[in-house]
Amino acid sequence: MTRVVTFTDGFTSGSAPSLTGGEVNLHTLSNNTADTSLGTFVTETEYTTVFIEYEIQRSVTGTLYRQAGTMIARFDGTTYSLTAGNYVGDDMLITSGAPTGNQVELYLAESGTSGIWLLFYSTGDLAGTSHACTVKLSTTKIRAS
Amino acid sequence: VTTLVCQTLVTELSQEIVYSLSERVHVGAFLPYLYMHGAPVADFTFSLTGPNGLVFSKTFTCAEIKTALGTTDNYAHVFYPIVPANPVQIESGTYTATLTAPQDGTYTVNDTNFLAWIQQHEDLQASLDYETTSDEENPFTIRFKSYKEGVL
Repeated sequence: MTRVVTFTDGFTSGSAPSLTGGEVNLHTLSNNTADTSLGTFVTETEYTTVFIEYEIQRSVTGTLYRQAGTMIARFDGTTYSLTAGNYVGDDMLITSGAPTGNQVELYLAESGTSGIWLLFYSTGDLAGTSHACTVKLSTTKIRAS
Repeated sequence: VTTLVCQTLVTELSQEIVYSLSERVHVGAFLPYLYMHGAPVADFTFSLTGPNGLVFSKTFTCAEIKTALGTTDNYAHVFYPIVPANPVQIESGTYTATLTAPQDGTYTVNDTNFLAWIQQHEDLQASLDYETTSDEENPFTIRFKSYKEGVL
């Protein structure tokens, strides 16, 4: 992921220099059949908003479904809430809430370190090779001002 | 004020390097331009592979970077010298310099702890063979220190 660092002076610093700009992470999961961490860490004090763009392809008992869309994760002071945005393609493939039917779920869970969250992908109720998913995700974290 | 564009080392970062001179050189140190944020405790690896496979590999830590700089500060940008026990011979060909993070759980990337490799368009030693359209397309910066015959 790209970082833009601003040093005030010298080559070393005893305190954290400024990190600016959004951070973009790309993920591809091919034929995923299990719940998986997507490896995007979000520190709640530094990022209140994460934009997620996705393309998902899912085989459900031999039939291929595709969907592309957006979600937004927003920190409300306690937790991150995901809100689904627009999508195109087949209906009901990915959700920010409890998955039903053919859906898979995206969610943020605290990583084990307080205040640091990790983006997860869940296969929902349909884990297994017959329902394998290929997911491409781009997450853009916006630094809190 | 210094502004740095860098890529966070999550698992691996690599840079292809073409050495085009016909004469062989003896490299006494490899100096990737690194940004240390929070001095994460982990064993990182620098490696160089060439046309015939692995040429050189060595691990290093942020504690060693701090020692080399003579500082207790946990934030620094530095051309950190990674010194082989014996000079590494480089001949004409394409090489790949790689930074690798440990995958044993000792290194967890987050906004308070990470190591990054700085990208620059201008470099004293290297020229680009492609056009960049953004800072993110700049190559990872690295310098080689070589021994020259007849120079003490």
